[in-house]
Amino acid sequence: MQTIALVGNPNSGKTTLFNVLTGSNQHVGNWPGVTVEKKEGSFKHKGAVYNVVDLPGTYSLGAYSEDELVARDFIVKGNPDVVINVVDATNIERNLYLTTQLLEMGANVIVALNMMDEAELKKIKISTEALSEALGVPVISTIAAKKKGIGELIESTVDIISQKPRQIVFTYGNEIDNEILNLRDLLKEESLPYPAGWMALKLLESDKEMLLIVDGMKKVKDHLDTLRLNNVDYELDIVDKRYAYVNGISKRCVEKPDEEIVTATDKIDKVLTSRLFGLPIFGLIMFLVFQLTFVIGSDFLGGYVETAIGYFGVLVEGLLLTLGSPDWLVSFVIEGFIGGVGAVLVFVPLIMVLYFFLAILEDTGYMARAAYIMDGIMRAVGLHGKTFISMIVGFGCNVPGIMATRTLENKKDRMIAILINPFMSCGARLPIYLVFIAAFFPNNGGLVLFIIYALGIAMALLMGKIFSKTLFKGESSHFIMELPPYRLPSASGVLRDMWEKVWDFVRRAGTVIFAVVALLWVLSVLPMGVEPYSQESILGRIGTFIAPMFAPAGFGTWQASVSLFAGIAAKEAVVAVLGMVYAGVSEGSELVTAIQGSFTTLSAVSFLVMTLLYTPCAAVIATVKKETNSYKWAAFMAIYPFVLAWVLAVIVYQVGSLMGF
Amino acid sequence: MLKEVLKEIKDAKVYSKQQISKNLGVSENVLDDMIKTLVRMGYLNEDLGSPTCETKCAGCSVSSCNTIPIKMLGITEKGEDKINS
Repeated sequence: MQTIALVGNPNSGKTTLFNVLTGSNQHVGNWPGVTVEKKEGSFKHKGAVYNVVDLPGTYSLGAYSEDELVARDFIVKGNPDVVINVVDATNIERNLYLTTQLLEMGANVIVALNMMDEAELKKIKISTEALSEALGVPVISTIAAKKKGIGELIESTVDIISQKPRQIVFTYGNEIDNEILNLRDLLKEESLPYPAGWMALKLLESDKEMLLIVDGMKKVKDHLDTLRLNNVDYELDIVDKRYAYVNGISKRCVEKPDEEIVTATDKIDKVLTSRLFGLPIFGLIMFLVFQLTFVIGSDFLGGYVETAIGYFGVLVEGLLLTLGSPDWLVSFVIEGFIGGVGAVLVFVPLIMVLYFFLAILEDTGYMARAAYIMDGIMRAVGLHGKTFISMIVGFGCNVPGIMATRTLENKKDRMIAILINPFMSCGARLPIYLVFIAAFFPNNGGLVLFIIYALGIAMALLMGKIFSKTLFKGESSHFIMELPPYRLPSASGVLRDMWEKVWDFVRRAGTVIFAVVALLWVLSVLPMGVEPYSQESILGRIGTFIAPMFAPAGFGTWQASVSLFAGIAAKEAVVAVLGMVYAGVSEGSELVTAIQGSFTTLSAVSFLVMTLLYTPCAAVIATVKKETNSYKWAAFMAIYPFVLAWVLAVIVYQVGSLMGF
Repeated sequence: MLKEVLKEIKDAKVYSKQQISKNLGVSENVLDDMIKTLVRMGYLNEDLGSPTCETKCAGCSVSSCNTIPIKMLGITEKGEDKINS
């Protein structure tokens, strides 16, 4: 019985053709040693029975997947009488790469040019005669799904079984051709499982299976080692020749409509990513996001949460007093927990709204454009364009932002990206800005928030420039981005993205912030007998000790100082501590009033600059240690932002004072 | 042709399959295959913006470090050598 192998690219209609040829006469098994499905069947033609083997769908015959190995092993070792190469006519260029490899192997090939109906619909014209002439094998038009062309395919297949396969002579250029001959001659001296010429070609392509086979063949191995030592690498050139061969055939045999499709994405991108308008539009969009965040999150939703936390505080206090709880417990729950953690939770609506809009920008595909728009600026200051991706991630949390720098292969690029990431204002810092905006800039919240974020980006770029000129010199590698098409944001995607970040914030308020607040509460009521939350408490003494350092920046109070100190544990703790030490507040508005009494507008601005830029939280410093595997860089990460923030805060305050603010 | 793909990528700013395939006179699917081949051979590197978050980091509720769907291609040192050869 003669054997016909079916081979083709995935989705070329190969299995449909197999079903048409074999009908119900088929059985399914596995190829030996692998999990790839083996389908075999048979059909009768003019009294003779033909065995048909459906080989796994594959784009090439390398050694990179089980499918490829199974297909090529069967063609070379299984000795099929004919190989029917099913070619998708709508995708002919891609499919012909496999055809080329089949011809290289010396297989007895017939091409079934399938899906011709779909090719016609796409106005693709293929001359089967010219194609047959160019390939040197029969080419039959088929539409397997409609059982068209099957009779002619069977006739031609049966016809060529008796014919000797046509040996097409490929040339890969003199140098490679000679090398193939040299290797072939060496291989011929050995016992081989494959034809020597084909093995020689595959060896020059660094085919893993062939390299294993020749491992014990000293002469062959020595020859290959010599090539390697001389930096001879023909792999790209061989593949290149195949593509050039296919390209040449396509140009001769295939006609395609020459129409350029301008998609909606192309049209939108012409404006949104244009050199002139790209950056201003990005700035405007971010400004609108911050404005909307305030309008919806603060004016519309914020009041409800604040009121709810206020009622909750009154309710819990009443309950504790009714139960006769000791004073210290009432103080801890009301002033410590609700005053501290509650002061953070009050900002959940704003954070929710901000991340909702950022998630929309990500889901539509705009944030990828933002990275593209910023690419030019990043390169101009000596940073790798990819750095902006990690910076955008840092807007959520600097820990994943620093992790995202792992995609930067170059150590220089990566170290700079890590060191500037904490200037991206993370979600945990938002409550600080929001409480100060509520106290001093209630009518310009969106603008102030926009300026804070922009200042963070500007400082990151400035420090990136300085680092690339001093600590980490060298060229950034080149890269390009594939921008995804624009799409309407999906409600589930946006809500999931928003929820992940909001939940992270709430979860941290209930765990890390609670732990920090509990510890600081203890420090604020000890030693026994002192006025709780006073300057005489341990917390007050720590604050008093460090406060003079911040006096030149205009916020040299023990409360502000100790809140910054606590912020190194977690940034939300800044507001939690302020909430606790200023008023033991159960309502955000009380904290706002307390802050208005302790800061001036100028010292508030200076404090905002400090909190934006100073030492990142402990989790970020630990991540820097983990990612750089260096205590030195972790220490640098803790110290240099502090120095920078302090200097800038002092400049803001001193210059502002001189100018009469 | 593969060297031309490397050159096109080097000269491009955005990875526009449509533009590069038009410049080279090949279909976008073939260009995809060529790029995969170049990545496999080590002339290009490819990433999706973040290789992290296959498993969540302890204490982090974020399921992905990077929710921005962006694919990036960079030319490796080997690729640069090939372009200059």
